[in-house]
Amino acid sequence: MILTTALALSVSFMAQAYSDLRQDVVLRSQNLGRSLARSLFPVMLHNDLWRAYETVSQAVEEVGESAAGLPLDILVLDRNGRIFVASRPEDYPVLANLASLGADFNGFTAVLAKSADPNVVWESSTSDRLLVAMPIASDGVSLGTLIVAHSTSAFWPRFARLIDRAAWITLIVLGVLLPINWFWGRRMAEPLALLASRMRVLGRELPQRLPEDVYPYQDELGEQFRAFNRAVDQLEEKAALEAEILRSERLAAVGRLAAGIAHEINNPLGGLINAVSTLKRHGHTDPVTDKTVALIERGLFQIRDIVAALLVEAKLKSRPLVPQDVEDVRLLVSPQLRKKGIVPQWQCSLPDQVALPATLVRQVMINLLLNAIEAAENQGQVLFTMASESNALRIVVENSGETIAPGQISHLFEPFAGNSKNGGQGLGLWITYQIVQQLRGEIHAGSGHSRTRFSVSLPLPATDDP
Amino acid sequence: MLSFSALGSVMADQELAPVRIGMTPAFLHDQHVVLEKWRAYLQQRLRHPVEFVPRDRYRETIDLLDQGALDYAWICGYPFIMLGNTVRLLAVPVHGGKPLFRSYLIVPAKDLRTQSIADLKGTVFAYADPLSNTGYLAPRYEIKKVGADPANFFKLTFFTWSHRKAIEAVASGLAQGAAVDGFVWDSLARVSPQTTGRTRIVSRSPEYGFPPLVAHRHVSDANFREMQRALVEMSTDATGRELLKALNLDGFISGDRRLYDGVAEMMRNLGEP
Repeated sequence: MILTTALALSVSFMAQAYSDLRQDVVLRSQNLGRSLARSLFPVMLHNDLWRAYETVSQAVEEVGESAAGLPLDILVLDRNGRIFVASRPEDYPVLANLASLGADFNGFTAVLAKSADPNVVWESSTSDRLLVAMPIASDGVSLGTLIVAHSTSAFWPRFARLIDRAAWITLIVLGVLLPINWFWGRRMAEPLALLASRMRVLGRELPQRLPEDVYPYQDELGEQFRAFNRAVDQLEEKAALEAEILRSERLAAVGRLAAGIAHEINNPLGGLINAVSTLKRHGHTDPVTDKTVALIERGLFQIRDIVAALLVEAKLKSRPLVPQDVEDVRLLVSPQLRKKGIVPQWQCSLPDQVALPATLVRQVMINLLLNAIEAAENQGQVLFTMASESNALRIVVENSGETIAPGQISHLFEPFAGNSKNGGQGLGLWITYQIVQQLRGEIHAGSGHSRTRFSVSLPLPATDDP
Repeated sequence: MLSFSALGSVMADQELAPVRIGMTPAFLHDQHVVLEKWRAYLQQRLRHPVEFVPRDRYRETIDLLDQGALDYAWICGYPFIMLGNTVRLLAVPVHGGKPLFRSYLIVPAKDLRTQSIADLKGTVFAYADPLSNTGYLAPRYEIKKVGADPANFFKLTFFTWSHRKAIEAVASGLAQGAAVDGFVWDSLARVSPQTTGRTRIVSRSPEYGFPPLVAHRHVSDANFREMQRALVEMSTDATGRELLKALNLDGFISGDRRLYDGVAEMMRNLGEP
């Protein structure tokens, strides 16, 4: 497009320049002719041929010497159209009839004869002659005609110089513009192509973000790329949210199933525990039977505890959490700590009372700590942080040691999802998750660089203003 | 410089009117530098201020002589005869070893056809000056000799008022022929060969007396002899010889009226006064 514009401009410029040049030549010739005609009048009146010749040949010489002048001939005609004198007498002999000197002169003399205005500018259509004619007259008496004759082909060197200069300027400008244009085009085209390829996968899969430096300019196009990246981010968030929701629902479904099973077991279980209690009170008291009954009772209690663990229910009458609960938990886990030679880092700042059910929070703390201790290596590190902020209780449990693989993290809170190192039921984290959900809190797990971290946030109920 | 101081000393002696020497187309009088040097030389020799009075036309110089406004003049044979006893013959230049010269009939160099003036019938012809024997009288005499009428022989004639310009007229093609002073043609060939190169000499006339230097009859005998001696002795000193070389002359001699009998003959023949 630049080339087309440049070409169009150049052509129109050239046409204008040629027209201007021709006009300039005509005007100059008319000026020259008028002053010559004035000085030639008395000379022609006295029929002084030599003086007339000196006048016109000197004028032609002066024009030839000036830088702006184009070569020309001067012809002086008498009243009968015959040549009185000319600057080049060899080609325009004295007393020759102008019309007889060439076909285009013939045409010219016809035009001159017909024209009412003796000032005539005539360009031949068959040759390159351009003639500017004016009368040699004074006081209404005309003695003849002065003609300034040009050959338009002499314009070409002058014109060619103009064109040459214009062409060079155009080339230089193009030489500057085209690389700039190409560079800008490339700058835009490549990122756009990348954008298009990334967008193509929309609908099938999640598109990749564009790199930040793909188009680091603050213009409208840059806005497009940044908007695309924001859209991708939102899609990713949505996908993450969906995955989170799916997981929650999955866990919730499992929870409901477990609850259903637990209820089914509880019913006959209650009866069995009663029966054993009756048996202990009223049964035969031989040692083997006593031992066996006690064994059965313990087993049944254990079943009851497991089932109870499955049925995590928030007890409305549960007492609020106090700092003593944290100390209790610390005591409870100290045997395991000692066994692995771990000295825990303990940071806890609690007010006198936190409006959260104590048993549930204790359960969460114990589960996380026992897991952390289990996962840590001997003489490893375990870190426990608890802090109460204005609107939530935050608990962080961190341990060193083997990290959890990324594939396992997403299934961490599912029942029996733990690796074989987790002794116990593999239900600990699932129970923890359920408690956190019930308390409308959040739990996050992260693992990497030989650290594993669980963080819990439990919202505090809004306090009534006094 | 020398001439000025000489002039100064001369002026200091007495309030002198300068000696006035008229110059005509007989001299290649575009050579202003040579003229100035010659003036200085003569001024020094005469111990008297000298002034050259160049004029384009013989008629003007003759008028000045008639009025007594010139002391000396370099004219050509025809005006000399015409002036009668208004003037005395002062000196005659010598060129090519003789006080004689010829008239050249010239045509444009491209014209290879013309062999004589008869071939130039019906063409455009350039005369130098109506009072020039070589530039006007002689060609008309030649035309009469072939039995034609000089007044109607050519299609168009015009005057260029100097031999040099007549040569230029032929060189440019404005005129198809001219008759010019051979001395002027030879001198121009030295100075501006590109001009003479565009002309061709068709024929050379018989010899005529070289354009003479004349003295007005009011010039005293003593001054006359002093001026004559200054001119004739130019060839004896170095500066003089240099000037002569620049003027394309060998020297001057006192000369004899009879050199111009040929001119007188032509005049009678053509019925000129």
